[in-house]
Amino acid sequence: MESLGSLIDGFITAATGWNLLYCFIGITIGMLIGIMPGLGPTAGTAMLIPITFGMDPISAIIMLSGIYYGAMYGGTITSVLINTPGEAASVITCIDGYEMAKKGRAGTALGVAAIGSFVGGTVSILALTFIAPAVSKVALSFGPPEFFCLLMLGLSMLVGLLGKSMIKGLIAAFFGFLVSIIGLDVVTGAVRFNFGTLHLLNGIDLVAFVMGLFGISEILISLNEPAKALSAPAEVKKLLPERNEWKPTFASIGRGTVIGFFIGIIPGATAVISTIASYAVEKKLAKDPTRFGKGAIEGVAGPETANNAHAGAAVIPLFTLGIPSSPTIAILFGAFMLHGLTPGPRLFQSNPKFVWAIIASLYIGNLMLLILNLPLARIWSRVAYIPYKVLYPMILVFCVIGAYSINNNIWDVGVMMAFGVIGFFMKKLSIPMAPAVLTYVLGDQIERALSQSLTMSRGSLMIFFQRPICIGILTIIALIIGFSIYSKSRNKGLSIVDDTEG
Amino acid sequence: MPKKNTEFWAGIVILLFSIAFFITSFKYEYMSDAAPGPGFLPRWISGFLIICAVIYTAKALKTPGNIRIVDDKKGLKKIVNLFLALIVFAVILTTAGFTISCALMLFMILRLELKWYTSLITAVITSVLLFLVFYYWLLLPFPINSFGF
Repeated sequence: MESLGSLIDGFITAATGWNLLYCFIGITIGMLIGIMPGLGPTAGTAMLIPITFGMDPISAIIMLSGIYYGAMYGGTITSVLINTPGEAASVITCIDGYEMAKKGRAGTALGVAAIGSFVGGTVSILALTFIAPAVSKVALSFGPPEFFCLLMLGLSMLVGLLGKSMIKGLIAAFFGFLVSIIGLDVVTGAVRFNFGTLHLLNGIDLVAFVMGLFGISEILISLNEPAKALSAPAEVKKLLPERNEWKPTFASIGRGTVIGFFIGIIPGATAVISTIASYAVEKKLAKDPTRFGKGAIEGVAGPETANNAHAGAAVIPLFTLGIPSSPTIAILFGAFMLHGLTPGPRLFQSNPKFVWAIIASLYIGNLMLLILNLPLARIWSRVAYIPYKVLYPMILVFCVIGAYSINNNIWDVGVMMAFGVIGFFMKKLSIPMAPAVLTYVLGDQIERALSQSLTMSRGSLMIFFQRPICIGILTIIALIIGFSIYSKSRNKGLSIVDDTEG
Repeated sequence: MPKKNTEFWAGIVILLFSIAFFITSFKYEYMSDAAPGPGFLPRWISGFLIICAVIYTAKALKTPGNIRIVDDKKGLKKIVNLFLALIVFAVILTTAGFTISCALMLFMILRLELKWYTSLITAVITSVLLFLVFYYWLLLPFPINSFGF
């Protein structure tokens, strides 16, 4: 009941005119980012951070979160209508969504996706409302060693489950960590690896780093590849399923919600894993699995629900433990810090007004998306038709403005371009970028937690093996790594999940 | 040396990068009192990266992987042009102001994609709109020229 009262207060804050406007702007930009090729949610969110510097922290985070879950909806539209996923989590939707569109049922596919997304998103936010305060209370009892082990768990999930090669995942993770080390040491105050330049005194900026790795690299990759022709968008007519399809659709939505939610709360597990798991379950449970790949409505309803349930649930580790579970959430984490707020268990105690306003805005945003999506799907799909040759110079200009406005200095534009080139090579070499962003964002926290733990133990690493919670978490890490090595050695790894942003 | 083994050369670059960090980390104190010093984590992380880079390079030698870096020569021309446009933007920004620098950068990029007059009109209109939105509405302190834009 305590949560309910706080949530009502949150609604009062989130429903003010300006916050509603920022929520609307956020989800609209998110939808555009989800639909447009060449700019994923991670770079899109990072690009807008400098604009929020002068804003009230609540409005800023409401807008930036809107981009995150707006992009999850946007990607679906182009997956169904033109077989082109705008973001990684919508790849699975292409399989049956586009097949439905080819049969003249694009409207139904989009309608089911929108309903499923709304249900999945709302249920996971409801769970966030009631679970998060309890988890944060438990997490408050964690000391630095437990926190360090939790951070390691998040990273091991990402490195273990992503990409075709574990060694590439590790290279990305250590690279991101080294980049985070540049500049002032958070513990001792020493300046490290600034190579004699004052520009590096405060390290590499998050916005420049992320926009380079995700935004600029995507432009370079797209320019380097011969242009692909897009198919004509399918006609959007009837939005709702046939009477006999409601039951299996809602069953899929129910399962998708559960799968997306439980995978979403695991730090390090990305939305792509949820959608793949949901699709696999739907196919396994179907009376006639041969329908899948030929326009099965469950193949759209399940994964789309799981995708949005995941998006809501992924906020739980951020709010309760301060652990971002994906690159986009990591950017939100960075935005929290830039606005003077530290995500984690203390947030519910120290800034309840802020937390509950953000949670309330997630409900509002989800409803706004349903309204924006169902009647306007065809109009949104037109965005995908903006020729890339016109789009990429505009994306570049926005990235340049975003990087410049961090410190009103051209240095950050140069840094962004440098990481753009690095990101280009990483993509070419199939080195996943998600671990690099996560270790970069968490680098300071990991160093602080490790330093505090070793100070407690007078330099002995045994502290991590003497505390029950630490032992439990380390056992899970060992199991994840063991499973990853075993499955990859037998070529059974989740190689479909090459790299992802959501 | 396997000239066409892209992964091998990528491994060498990662190895050199990690070695540079590893060597530099010795400049910083490893332990201070009982707690790790500023050199503690950089030494371990760069050490781990060296190991990963060696494994990656060795794997590439065992099973050579030649990944095409340049897929499309036209695309490469566009990429070079994009970087040139950015350099021009960076050089003239403080003296010419945001609007002119942005318009020139956009024109340089768009002229490879559209007719010159379409590129020019698009570049100018976009730059002016961006200036109005970001400078006057969002109050971002863009550099301006003596004419005020």
